[in-house]
Amino acid sequence: MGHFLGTFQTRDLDMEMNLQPTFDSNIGFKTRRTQRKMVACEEDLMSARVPPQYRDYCAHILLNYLVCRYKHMPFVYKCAHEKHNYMNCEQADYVLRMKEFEREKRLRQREKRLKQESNS
Amino acid sequence: MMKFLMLMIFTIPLCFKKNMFWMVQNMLFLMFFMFMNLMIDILYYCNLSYVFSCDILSYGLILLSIWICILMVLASENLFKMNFYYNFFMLNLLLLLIMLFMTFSVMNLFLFYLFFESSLIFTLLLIIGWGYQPERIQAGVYLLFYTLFASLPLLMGIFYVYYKMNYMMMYFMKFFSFELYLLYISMIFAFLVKMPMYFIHLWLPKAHVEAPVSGSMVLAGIMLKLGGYGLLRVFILFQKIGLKMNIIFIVISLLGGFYLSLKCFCQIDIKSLIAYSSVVHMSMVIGGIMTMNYWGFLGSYILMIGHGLCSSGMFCLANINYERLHSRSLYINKGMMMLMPSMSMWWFLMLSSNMAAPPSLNLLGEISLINSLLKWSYFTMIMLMFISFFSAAYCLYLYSYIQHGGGYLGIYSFYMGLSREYLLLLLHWLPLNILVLKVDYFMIWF
Amino acid sequence: MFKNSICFVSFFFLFLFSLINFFFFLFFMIYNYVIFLEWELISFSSMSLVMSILLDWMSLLFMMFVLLISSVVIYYSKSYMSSEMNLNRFIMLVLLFVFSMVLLIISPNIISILLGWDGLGLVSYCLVIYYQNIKSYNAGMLTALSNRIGDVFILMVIFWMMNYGSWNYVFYMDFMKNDYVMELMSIMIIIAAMTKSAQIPFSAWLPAAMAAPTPVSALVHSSTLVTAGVYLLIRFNVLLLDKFFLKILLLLSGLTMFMAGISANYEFDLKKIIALSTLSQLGLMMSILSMGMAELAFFHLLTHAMFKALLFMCAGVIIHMMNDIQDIRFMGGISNFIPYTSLYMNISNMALCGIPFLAGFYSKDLILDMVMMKNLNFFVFFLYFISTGLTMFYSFRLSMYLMINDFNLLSVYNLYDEDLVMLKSMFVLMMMSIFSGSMLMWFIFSYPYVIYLPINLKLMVIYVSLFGMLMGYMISSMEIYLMNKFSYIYNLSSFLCLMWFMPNLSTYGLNYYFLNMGQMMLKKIDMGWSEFYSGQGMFMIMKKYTIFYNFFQMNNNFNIYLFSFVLWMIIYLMILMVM
Repeated sequence: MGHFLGTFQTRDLDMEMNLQPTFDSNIGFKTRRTQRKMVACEEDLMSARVPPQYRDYCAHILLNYLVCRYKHMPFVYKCAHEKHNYMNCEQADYVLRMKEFEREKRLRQREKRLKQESNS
Repeated sequence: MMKFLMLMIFTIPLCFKKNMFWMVQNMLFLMFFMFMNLMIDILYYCNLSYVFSCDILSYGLILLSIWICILMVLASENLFKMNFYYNFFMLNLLLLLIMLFMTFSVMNLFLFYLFFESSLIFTLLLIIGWGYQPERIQAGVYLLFYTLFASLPLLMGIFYVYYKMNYMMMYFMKFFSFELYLLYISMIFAFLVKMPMYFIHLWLPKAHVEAPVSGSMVLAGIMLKLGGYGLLRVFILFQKIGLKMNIIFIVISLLGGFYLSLKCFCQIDIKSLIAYSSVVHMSMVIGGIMTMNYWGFLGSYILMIGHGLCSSGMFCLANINYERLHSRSLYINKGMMMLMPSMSMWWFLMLSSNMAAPPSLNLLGEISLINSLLKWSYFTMIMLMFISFFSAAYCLYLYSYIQHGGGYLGIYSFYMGLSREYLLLLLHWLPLNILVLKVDYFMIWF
Repeated sequence: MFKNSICFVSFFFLFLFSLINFFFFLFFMIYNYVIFLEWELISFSSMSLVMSILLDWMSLLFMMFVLLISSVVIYYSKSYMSSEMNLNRFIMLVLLFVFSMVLLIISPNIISILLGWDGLGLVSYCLVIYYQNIKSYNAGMLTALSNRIGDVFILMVIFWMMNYGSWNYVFYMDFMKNDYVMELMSIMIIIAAMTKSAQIPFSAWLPAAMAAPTPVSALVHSSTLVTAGVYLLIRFNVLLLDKFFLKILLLLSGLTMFMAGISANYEFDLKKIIALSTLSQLGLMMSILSMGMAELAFFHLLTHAMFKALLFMCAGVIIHMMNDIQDIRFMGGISNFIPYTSLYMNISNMALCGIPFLAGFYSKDLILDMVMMKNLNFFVFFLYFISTGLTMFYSFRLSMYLMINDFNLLSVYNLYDEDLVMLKSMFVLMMMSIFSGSMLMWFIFSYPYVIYLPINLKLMVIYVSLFGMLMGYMISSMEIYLMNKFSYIYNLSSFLCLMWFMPNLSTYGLNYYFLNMGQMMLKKIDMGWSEFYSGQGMFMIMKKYTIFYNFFQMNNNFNIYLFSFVLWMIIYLMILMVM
């Protein structure tokens, strides 16, 4: 619901939830941005049978958590530290995605403003 | 197979000795166990001797008829206690069993017809001789004339088939095929009246209600299945024409099943309600046979056996109430759970098997028939949904009306369920619900 | 202890099985182990009818909960139903019910699901009509027939599954998702689950089924029967994703949640309030299922079972104490008299509302957070949050009426806390209802849910709860039930309080048409035209013609004799002349 409320501002910019960035990723940055690296490798993820939607950039921390759960089962509460790490990583990823969205929105607004100025 | 015929014929003198009521039942049990030892196999006729044979279809139905006759003796102990011509009753029963045995086991189409008609006579004697109300005369007339009116064309048809085929063995019928509409109608009409189909079912509520308990049991248990058996045998000749014309009968019987299940709610007589529910089950059986599917034939066979046991059991239960209260009306048979709580469990078990609750044979039959009818056409889904739903509705209606609530205040004295009655119900219910565990042995008959 | 020993024996064995299931669940969960046992009944024409048992962690966990609740309920009914003459029959029915439910849980095969489903419907009918009065009779009929609609749909699904070659649906679901037969089957499964779990068109039976004895309500109508529909959809949830019918399910279950919450505020019958609360939580479970989060629905199902069964058992103690009065207007100040029971009642009420860190909080709060993280429209958001507020509203109103307001029954009374049997059984559930939330959350969710929300949205749950509490306080302290009689809002309030007229739809709306049709057909066809064309018609024709012929043969009329003699002589002469 919160996302829905947030999309009110982006109606006229043709933006929706699952969009990929359309602008070049280095515009407006002083230093060069590098692509994120996937730390966990494919064989580890396949042998742990992690579902596809969880194989993102935080998957190595997830694997730590899963290993810790398996070791301590049924006293899973002992893995609270690993879970906290995973949640932190996911939150950072989420914030990064929010920032990308915001960046996209502002670049589109800027583009629209530049087009209006060039038309008038 | 001759040995069973001889066993039954030589049990006849036993009926006339004094106090031999239960001995005859013992002989029938012996015959049942001997019959179970016959080896049978699918696809061909086994145990050939003179004119007799059996394949799985006739084997199952003969077993059912012997079992129902045993239970008929168990249910009619009242005749023995009151000394009401039990000798002639036993004679009648044995002759009926002989006719039924012959009907199912002969290989000759004409002999099948002969014994098919003669079983009617003994049923008529049973209804008129030992029935309870004066309306039984009209019931007997209806039974006789409905079936005779339809089966005389069958006789003509059999003569024509003999004229064309020159032999009457049922096994060889699969090499022939007739394409005459009149022959088709005349041959299957008799079995449709016997089954019964919707518009020609009027003899059934009368005959079932006016018959004594043994008459009701044999009518619901076996006589309806004679029609099914006949259809299953005779359709081999009419496969091509059947594929074209059967739609009429499927539509009539399915719609009829729906209307009849609604009419069950308006009945005030317990036996009449059970009789109408028999017609509903048989309408699904007719539908299944007429689709000419493999599922349809097997499902109709299973539902015939399951329905025979279940309806017969329910008529026994109705009689248990009748013997105590001398009324079958729903206004008087109320609050039975207070008076006979164990019997209420049996009411529930029998009624739940009637509405095709698992794990009864009725459920398996209904699933197979639903599969075959829906495969034949998707539009039957509507009628089948209604039939399934309303079967449950009227079974629960009957159960809650009889068992629950206040109780009729005009009852003076009442005795609890006898062990004989519990045995009777157990012998109905056990085959119905346990046979489903080994159903692959006898469901597949061709 | 051994007076009603069937209760103790069955309690013991069910509790033992429940513990065994718990250990097996842990084992199966760690090693991700699945056991599949099959027994072929019959196989012909390329279909095989098999009886199968599927043991994976979900079925073992659910079985553990069902057996735990049923063992505790049977032990409770040892004391609750101790004045019952036929206690053996009651316990047998409850055990049969548990057996049907277990059969439903462990079956991967649609035919064995039908076994459990039919068994559940019929045994719950027997249990609802256990007290033989008119209200139970009507309620039982409504229950059995509403459940039967679901049965019929599952029978149809059995047919459609013939398309795939066997009835083990677990094999086909992932691969055949887009087939049109699978879509048709999923619509039918959804309707069947809706009838069992009492969603909007079929909601009438759940409050009516409160005519059953309280242990039956605690077992059947809180945790097992009504969750059978949700469980079926959880098993089939792969089929449900990305289909149009899901939106309808979301709408209907959201409306169920909302309607039940509103109707519970107008009710004064203790068990009906709890029934409508169950209905509201069922709507919540179904709606979260329709959004695709089946694990959350399962989690809420389990925690809800715990505290709802406890709530029903407390209600039973209160009803016993009040000499079988169920109306909350007569109750008040019970915590002075039955402190333990009111403690349990408070805990279960708070767990229901989602007070932090009790059992209900983990499931309910997680559900609401995930709802806020998803992309929904305003109407659904409104339904969820207003329903959460309404939950708090009626729970707090119930607590006010029961505990905080004054005692209203008689002037002379002696109320006491019930015997140790009932308290012991409630103790087990209370412990579970406090700890099971966090315990399950740690066990089930291997892959944690990530929630990232702005502070006001996160606190929205607390806001609506506080608002509901405030409204509950205001409603129960004012004499507001008199306000329903004002004609100004009479229409609206009778619509809202009578469950949006759905009981009328399920009873009068359908009955009249079909019964009339049956009567008309009996009179016009069976006793009318069919008789005219066959039996009675033939009789009248024969009568008419034999009278006619009789006139010529039997009347001894000399005229007729002479005339027929002359006629035959002429015919004879003509034949002679021709020859």
